[in-house]
Amino acid sequence: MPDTTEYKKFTDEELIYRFQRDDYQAFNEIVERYKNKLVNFIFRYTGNRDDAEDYAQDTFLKLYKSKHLYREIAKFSTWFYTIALNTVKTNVKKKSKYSSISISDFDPENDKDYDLKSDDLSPEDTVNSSIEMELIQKAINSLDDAFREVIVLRDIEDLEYDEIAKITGLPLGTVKSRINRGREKLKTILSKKIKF
Amino acid sequence: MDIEDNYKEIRKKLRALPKIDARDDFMLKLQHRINLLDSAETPLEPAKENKPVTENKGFWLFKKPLPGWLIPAAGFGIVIVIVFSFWMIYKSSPDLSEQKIAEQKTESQNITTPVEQSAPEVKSQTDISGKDLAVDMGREKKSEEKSPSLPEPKTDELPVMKQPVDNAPVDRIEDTKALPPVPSNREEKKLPESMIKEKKIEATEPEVKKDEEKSEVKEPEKKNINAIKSDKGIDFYDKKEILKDKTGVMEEKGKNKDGIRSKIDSVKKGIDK
Repeated sequence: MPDTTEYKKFTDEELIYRFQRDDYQAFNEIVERYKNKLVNFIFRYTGNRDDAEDYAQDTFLKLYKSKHLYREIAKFSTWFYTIALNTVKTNVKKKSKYSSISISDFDPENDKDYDLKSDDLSPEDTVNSSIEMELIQKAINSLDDAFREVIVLRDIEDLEYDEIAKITGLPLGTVKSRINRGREKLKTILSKKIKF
Repeated sequence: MDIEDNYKEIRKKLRALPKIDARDDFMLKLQHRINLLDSAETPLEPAKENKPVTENKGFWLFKKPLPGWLIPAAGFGIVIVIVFSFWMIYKSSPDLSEQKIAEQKTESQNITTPVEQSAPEVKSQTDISGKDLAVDMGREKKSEEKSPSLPEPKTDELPVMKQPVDNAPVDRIEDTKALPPVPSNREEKKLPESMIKEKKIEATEPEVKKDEEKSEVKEPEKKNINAIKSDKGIDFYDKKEILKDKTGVMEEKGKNKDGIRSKIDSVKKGIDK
């Protein structure tokens, strides 16, 4: 068993290879490497911090249970993001089913309590960067799933086009076109509120 | 790259978003969930291990587990073998059914025939050659081995069986007709032969029994004699024989004396004359 410092030198593929042979220290190293990336990716996709943490843990649990399914035909990061994206999509669908029967459906007067905050912001607020970031996040969340996932993977997680194509299971051209269309939609949404 | 440049500003904004890190208790929570998962899976593991063992317990063929798709075929084959073996056993012993039919016939004949006709015919039927006796004795033994539970025919009823069917009275024929019908023609043809064989067997039985009785009588005597010899230490039997011999000699002597007297009497008569 190598030291914990030596695990940091291993590549992702070496770590998962070791974990497949019941080296749990390798799993810990994978979690250390990917937990922040994963939480950030899921948070940007869902817009909810708690959900992001929960879905990230679900993803790591799936990795823990189905470690034997990984084959070295693809990069570990690609395979792991695929698991994460599928997990997030499944959980979001489940949550949307439950949220379809919400209190707001029975009490229309209180709709505003559950809606997003009003887009009408004062110029003073726009100066505040935190608010700007919040606006950007809201704009991302307002996108369709098809555009949102590719925008997050490309412009936030900074993955390559071919890698995104493998994760989403879409052709490369479709990925590129979706990214551009998503950017265009974001620009149109944010141009009303933020000065570029 | 031109496309990327078109959205350079928006990309800057997106990349400028702060990175959200996992909370400090992220690892603890994950570890807790993994422990729960392991504890939930551990009771299932022994069951998974035991399951194939229990499945393969009953289906082993030639030290190898029997494939699942072969189990119905194997069961069907076993059933066929059992049925075939039973069929062969019952087919190989047709004499039993014939014997039963013959016994039923004899019983019906015993009811109808008078006892007076039986006595003289026994003697006529018992005149069978030695070869037939030997053959019949062998068959009888076989039949006894095959059907030990069947009741032995009584010697008193033997004469009735010796009567030919053609000479039987009308009542008896009617009774035989009243018997259950024989299932096939083959068995009907065989019936008279088997009847004759059984009659022969039963006719020879008294002679055999007499021989056996003789041998049975002799053996106890010898045993008694030997016992007496051994108990008294004296050859008592020899003495008895000697006594018998002596009495015989005495009788012979008496006979000789009588002969001399008769001769003397004849001489005296001649002198007188």
